[in-house]
Amino acid sequence: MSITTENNEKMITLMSSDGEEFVVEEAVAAQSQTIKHLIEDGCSTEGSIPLPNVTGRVLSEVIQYCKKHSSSDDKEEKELEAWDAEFVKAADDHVALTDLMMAANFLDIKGLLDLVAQTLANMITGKSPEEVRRMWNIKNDFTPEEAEKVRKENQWAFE
Amino acid sequence: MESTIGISNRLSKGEKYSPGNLQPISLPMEVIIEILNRVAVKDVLRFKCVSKELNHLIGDRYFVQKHLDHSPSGIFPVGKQSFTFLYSYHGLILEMHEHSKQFRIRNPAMRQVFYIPKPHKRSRVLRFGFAPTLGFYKWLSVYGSHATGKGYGGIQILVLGTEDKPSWKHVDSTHLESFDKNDLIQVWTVEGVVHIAKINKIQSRDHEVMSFDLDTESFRGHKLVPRSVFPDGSVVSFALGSVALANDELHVLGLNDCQEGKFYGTKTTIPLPFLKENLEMRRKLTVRSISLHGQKNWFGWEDCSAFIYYVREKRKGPEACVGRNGKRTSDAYRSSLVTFKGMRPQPLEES
Repeated sequence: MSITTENNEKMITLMSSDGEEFVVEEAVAAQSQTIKHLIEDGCSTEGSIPLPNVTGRVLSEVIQYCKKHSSSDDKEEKELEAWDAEFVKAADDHVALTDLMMAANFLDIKGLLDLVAQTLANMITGKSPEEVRRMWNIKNDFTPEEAEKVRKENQWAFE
Repeated sequence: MESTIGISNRLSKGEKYSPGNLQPISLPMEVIIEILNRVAVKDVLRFKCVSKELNHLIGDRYFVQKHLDHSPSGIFPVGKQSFTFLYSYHGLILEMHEHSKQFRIRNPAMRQVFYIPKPHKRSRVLRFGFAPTLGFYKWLSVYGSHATGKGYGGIQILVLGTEDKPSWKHVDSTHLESFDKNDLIQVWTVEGVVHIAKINKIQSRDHEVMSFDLDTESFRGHKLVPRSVFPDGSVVSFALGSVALANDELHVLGLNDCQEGKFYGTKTTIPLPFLKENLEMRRKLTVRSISLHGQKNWFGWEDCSAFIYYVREKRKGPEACVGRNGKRTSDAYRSSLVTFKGMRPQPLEES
């Protein structure tokens, strides 16, 4: 479904995995390389573009980011940086940020991916392997001997 | 119509992440890589202990390269130690022992070191590069033909990472025969190609650049750089391109294709307005080279101290290398996970 507003902006509709619809300017949505390619392939002409990997809550945050960054040409770089910092702060926690990260990865939005990946990287800095396993749901599949060997090789990184 | 009511299959808005509310997430590997790319070397090394998969990933050379690409530019302090800092590349640092002239490569972020077998006794230039196809680091040594150090005798290559104790081998270098003993040479590396430039002393002759491919270990091109491109009397310096400084302007002839050693047909002129305000600097400034990535440009004073100029952004960078008493005190450096076979942990007391 493709609508044109009074401002002559082409609008498109995005549909989240849980069936929520978002009507946004094409220029905003096209910051996602994935959506841009779908539009180019004509997927936006019949109804909405389904995004099966992104929930409505996450998609609304992604759209917030894209709106801010699509009109940012004339904005001060510093202001945008401050906005970005607030944006990831509002995402609040590891789980919400990870959701956002997965969406940025799937939708292929470079700026958002950089921003969220850096935030998550800062969060795991200084953490122990056990804490990382817990955060990322990774099973420790080393035998005790193997674990000891790898730890020994990198002993100073624990100091 | 944009809805403000979000439905999450995990946590709803406002619900906090806390240990009691722990909902682990299984991340796809590509997302884990994106995050780890932005984590400092020491933390990444510790995360080798998380699982077999992460241990394998962090040791993988493609990951190491990606991590290096994300590594922020920093400053490496060049302290007064028994080993003198020569230069850094991919987070590795080349140093030479003050007395024994022993060379070594060190990765300070990984705390690893490798002692390089002695090159030819008349070795005059050592350059380091990465051969991307096989993923090996290689050294090139250009040595003189006479004990006086004049003229060029040949080239040796050292391949790191294939064996614990690699040795230098000779490279067919008949190209060097055209080099006159009075010619000045400059050697630099870009993306796996070592370029050797001959700065002709004779004013009527053009400069020459020969390109050596580290992957195939053979010469692949010989190009002329017209002298007329640059203002009369300016001193040319070769690197990612060739540069000359004259009239408070930087004259740059960039490399169009570093693999083929082709130069751009047109020259870029970059004004250096800060020189007008600093007469002392203007008097002493000489161009050293354009460094890798084409983004910054080093300037040197006569006493070997230097600072960075970002060519693309047209601004002066931090005075990373400003030295006292004619000695460099620091240099640009990016920490990395780069290591190779034969490197060993460096005991702390060995620095």
